[in-house]
Amino acid sequence: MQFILTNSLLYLLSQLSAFPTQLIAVPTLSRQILPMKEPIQKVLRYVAFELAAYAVLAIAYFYLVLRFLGTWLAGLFHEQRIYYVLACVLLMVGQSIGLERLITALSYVIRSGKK
Amino acid sequence: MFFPISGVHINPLLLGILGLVIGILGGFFGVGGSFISGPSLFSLGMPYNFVVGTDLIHIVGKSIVAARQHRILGHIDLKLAAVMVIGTLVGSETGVDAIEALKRTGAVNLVVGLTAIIIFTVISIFGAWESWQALRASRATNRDTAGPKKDVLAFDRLAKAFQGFPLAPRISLKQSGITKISIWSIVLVSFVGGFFSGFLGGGAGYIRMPAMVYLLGIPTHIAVGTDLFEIIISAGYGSVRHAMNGNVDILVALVMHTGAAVGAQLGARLTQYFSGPWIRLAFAPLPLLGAILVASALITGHHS
Repeated sequence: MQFILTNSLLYLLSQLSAFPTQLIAVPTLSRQILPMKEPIQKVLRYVAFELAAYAVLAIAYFYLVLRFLGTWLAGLFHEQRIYYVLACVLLMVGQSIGLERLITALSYVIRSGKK
Repeated sequence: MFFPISGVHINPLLLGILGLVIGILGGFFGVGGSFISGPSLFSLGMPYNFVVGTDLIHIVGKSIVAARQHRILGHIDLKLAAVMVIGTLVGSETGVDAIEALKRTGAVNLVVGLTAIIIFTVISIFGAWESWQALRASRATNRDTAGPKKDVLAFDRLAKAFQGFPLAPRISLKQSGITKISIWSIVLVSFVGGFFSGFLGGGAGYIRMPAMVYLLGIPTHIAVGTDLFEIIISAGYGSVRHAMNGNVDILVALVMHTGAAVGAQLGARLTQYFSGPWIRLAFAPLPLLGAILVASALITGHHS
């Protein structure tokens, strides 16, 4: 359990440190392929698939977040405000990166499956 | 479901759907969507101090996702964003100070409310008129305006005046297709955006995005992407301040963000299919909606 937690934390930290560079880096050829302009009907069909798959994952995720983080964050909020602020920033940035990657991966899987 | 930090019971699915709607608006128009999420969270029973801070940190998360997508599409001018951040932060602080000064006079709600109604209505009417004229002009000349650098403006006199402002230092913005512009023009515009962000609350994208288009002459697609990038920093700063004061329920923000993340990507991708004038025309009713919400809050006495 500790091994998984440590590795997850290390992965999150590596993603956090790499993300600002990726955000401002000039898009590479592989990234430019991703937003290639497709017919709008095709895009909307893919989006519907993506939304369905994503909704299941997201609902499972936020029940987990509320169950496991709720009490801990409420404790931090009332007793250690500085750590709470730090946790807020890390959680929001971490979730943004994680979800962005998840949506991109879902989009890739659904599109490659449909081609 | 009970959220222990703000002490409210809210259905998380409603939060996810609200996030999705705001995410699409944010990705497509480059706005934070606080004019919708603020009153919505308030009506779901959240105390107003938590509404402001929670909304702001959720905007940061959503803007990270949308800005990344816009960056891939080539819609972010980093040099412009870097200069704008300075004006926005100073403007935001000035706006907060103005609110504090008004609080001492006791007329804060009336003054802020009336200012918001006037500004939102003017932006809405002017935006609708201008984008309609631009669409007519592009149809008449048969110009393809779907690319980020092929934008058409029906009213570009202000943009020309701002770009011609001679005070040094002057910089070039290659990404936005502007050869020379004074840094002070950019700082002034971002200061005004920041001021209204502090004064009226939220990210004030509904003011900054049109200001970038009409005052600085930035193409609409680049204005949307750059505004989102700039919001990450300015709203991030505001979020930390609010979190320190105990105004952020991160659990509500995280749940909302699960919807907003996918909405933001969808909205950003959709911008590829619309020309600048169409995006501006679709944007025009949004500030008017904000004006109606503020007017109703003033009339009913619920100052959201």
